[in-house]
Amino acid sequence: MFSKVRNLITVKNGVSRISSSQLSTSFSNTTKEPGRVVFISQASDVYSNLALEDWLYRNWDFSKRHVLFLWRNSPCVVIGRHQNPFCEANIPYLESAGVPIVRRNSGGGTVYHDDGNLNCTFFTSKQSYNRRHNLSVICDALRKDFNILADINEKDDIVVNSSLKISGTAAKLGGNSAYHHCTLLVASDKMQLKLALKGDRTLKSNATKSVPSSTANLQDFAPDMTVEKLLESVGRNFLNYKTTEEDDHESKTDVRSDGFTLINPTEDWFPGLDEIKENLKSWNWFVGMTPLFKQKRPVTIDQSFSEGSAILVSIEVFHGIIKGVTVESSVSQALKEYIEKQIGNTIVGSRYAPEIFLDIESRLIEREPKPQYYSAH
Amino acid sequence: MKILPDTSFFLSLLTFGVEEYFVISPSFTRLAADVEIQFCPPDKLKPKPAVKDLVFGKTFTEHMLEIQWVDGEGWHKPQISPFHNLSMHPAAKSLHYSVQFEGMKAYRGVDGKIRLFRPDENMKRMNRTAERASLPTFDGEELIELIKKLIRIDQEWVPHSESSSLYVRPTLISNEDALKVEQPSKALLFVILSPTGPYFSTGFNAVSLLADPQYVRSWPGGCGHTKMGANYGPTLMIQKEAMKKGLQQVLWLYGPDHRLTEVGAMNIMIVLKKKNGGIELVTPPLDGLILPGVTRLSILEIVRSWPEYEVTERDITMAEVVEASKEDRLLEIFGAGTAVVVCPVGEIHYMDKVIKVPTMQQEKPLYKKVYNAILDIQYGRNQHPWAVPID
Repeated sequence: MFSKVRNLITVKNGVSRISSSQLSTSFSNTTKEPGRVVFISQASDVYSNLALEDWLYRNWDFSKRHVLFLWRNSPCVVIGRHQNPFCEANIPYLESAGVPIVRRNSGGGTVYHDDGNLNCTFFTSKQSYNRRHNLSVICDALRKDFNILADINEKDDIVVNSSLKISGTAAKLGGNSAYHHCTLLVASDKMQLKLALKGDRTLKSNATKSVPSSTANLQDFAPDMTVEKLLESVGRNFLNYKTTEEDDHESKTDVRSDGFTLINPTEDWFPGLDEIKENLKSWNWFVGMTPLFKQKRPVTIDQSFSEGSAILVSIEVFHGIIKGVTVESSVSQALKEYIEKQIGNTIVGSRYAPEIFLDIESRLIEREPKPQYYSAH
Repeated sequence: MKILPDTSFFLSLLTFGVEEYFVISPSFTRLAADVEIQFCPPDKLKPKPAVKDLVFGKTFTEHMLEIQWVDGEGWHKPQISPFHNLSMHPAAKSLHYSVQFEGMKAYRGVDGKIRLFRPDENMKRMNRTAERASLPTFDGEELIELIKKLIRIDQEWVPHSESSSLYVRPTLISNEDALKVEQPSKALLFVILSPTGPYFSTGFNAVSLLADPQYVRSWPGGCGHTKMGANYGPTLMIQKEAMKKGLQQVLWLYGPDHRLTEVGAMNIMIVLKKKNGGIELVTPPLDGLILPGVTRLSILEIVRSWPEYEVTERDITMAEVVEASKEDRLLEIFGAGTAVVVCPVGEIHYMDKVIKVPTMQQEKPLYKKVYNAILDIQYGRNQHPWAVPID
């Protein structure tokens, strides 16, 4: 009998209090609110981090514990699920600079990442999904620890001084689980960002287009801020966040919190991760998911041609495969057919690459027999 | 005014409302609910190595649990804090006279959940050992709740591959700074965790044993039935002797009749074909010389539920083993413990004899059956109350 009673006792400020409604397992969260934990990635490559995000989303149930995953990438570009990478980024520049460009699983626009920005992914059950709440946790952290007053606009961007965007948001909802991720610009290299995100304007596409906005770095408003400090601040606020109805005077650690932990996103810690990474790197995913687009460019032709020195040719690409070639300028029927059918047949069905127009040009130059075309007019 | 029957409750009881009673009471076990947690800050977290580099007993997680006890005050508030060295006065009693510890594991199941294996048994044993060591006892259920919280905080140290585990080491020492050999007035209970990667069973390998009756691990009236550090330190020298002879473990014998007691740091199990034909699983009884292993207990309970075996806890001597071997009735000998679950024995070097034990030659060996049965429970393939989820 004594042990049963003893089990009902808690001690607070030297005074013992018994509540018969509480059982001895009261330490485990009787609030029935989900627990909270912050994961910090040890990796800085975008493939490992995005793959881990997907792995957690596919394999875990977040109804009992919400996870905030914090990660940073070495310079890279991340496009939204339904975007056209060629429209959104300067692919040749990125290739020459060795900067990876990746298509993520969630929708939305294109972002440039480097180690001056912090990525936050909030994992919850589908029912508990709440973007505004997550963004409030961040705004609270900015206010309490850095004296920055930030607002959330109607697009769920976090803005400072009403117009300068310091964060962009995207999300994915599934059957049981959901995640909301956002970037936080602390000290990002704005010049690299501009160079990287200069897309190809000769492309016309129905894919989701990024909406450009004026951005700022948080360091502009708080010079002492570093990504590490912001990481700790956002993490702590997430762990201890109390809704307005709750007692905010409790300085004791929230019982729901499991603190911070480092995550090593590799296959041995998370079996199945490598497969997800391989898929992210694959052509089928990165280019193959691109919606229908048309690209129109001038193609230089032989000087001896009476048509002029360049004609406009457009190609149609669907899921990264060239579907058709069309001559847009008015030219002779013979030339039109030559380009659309002869050359077209050799390139239709092959994979799109930005150099495809050079390919068309070189095939025009190599064409045989030349005399036929000279006598077109 | 309601007065509770236990007299260690003091003085005034005030009734507030229907369900609450206030009591002022300075010394009794604190509840897990009162634990103070200090999380390791992000910049002090330890990067996780590749799974193959997790070294059992050398890689530890980032947090630990500590509860201080003071005579007259009882147990203080439990603290979970970042893993740190203990600061000890050179005269701290445990440095001189004794330490007690426990060993159990939490397993990452096939469903991703982490489960503790029969923690209540370890708590009971820890309290029995504490009494024998003149260290304070505690509420086992509360300690299990605290250990669950500690594991929840550090659970990402257990890889998500199947068959990874976390070794849990509760320890109880006296940190009272007084040399006198007397009842300690201060004690510290702490728990640390060590992760292990997947235990790839590349098949079992039988071990060879040195059985030399001049070495005695435990004796009647002693403390061999408790998990005290004092029982382990002295075995290292004999282990070295065995290895010098090219043997792998020590078979601990006791008494003029050379009773088998334990093997290495494990309990011992012997499988015999009885003279009348049945199969008997024999293990020494808990008569004070034997550590009451949780694996030992689990094996006995499981095999008792299999009608084709007879299970007996009784003394068994080397003479009986030698005779059974001569008559081809010695089927298997294996060790049983938390670290490996079972450890098959291939031969025993006893006096001038080498006794071959056909453990690995059996068609349907019992050690394998119990190994599979226990692992199925630990890893959640078989949902069983012995495996307690941490949340």
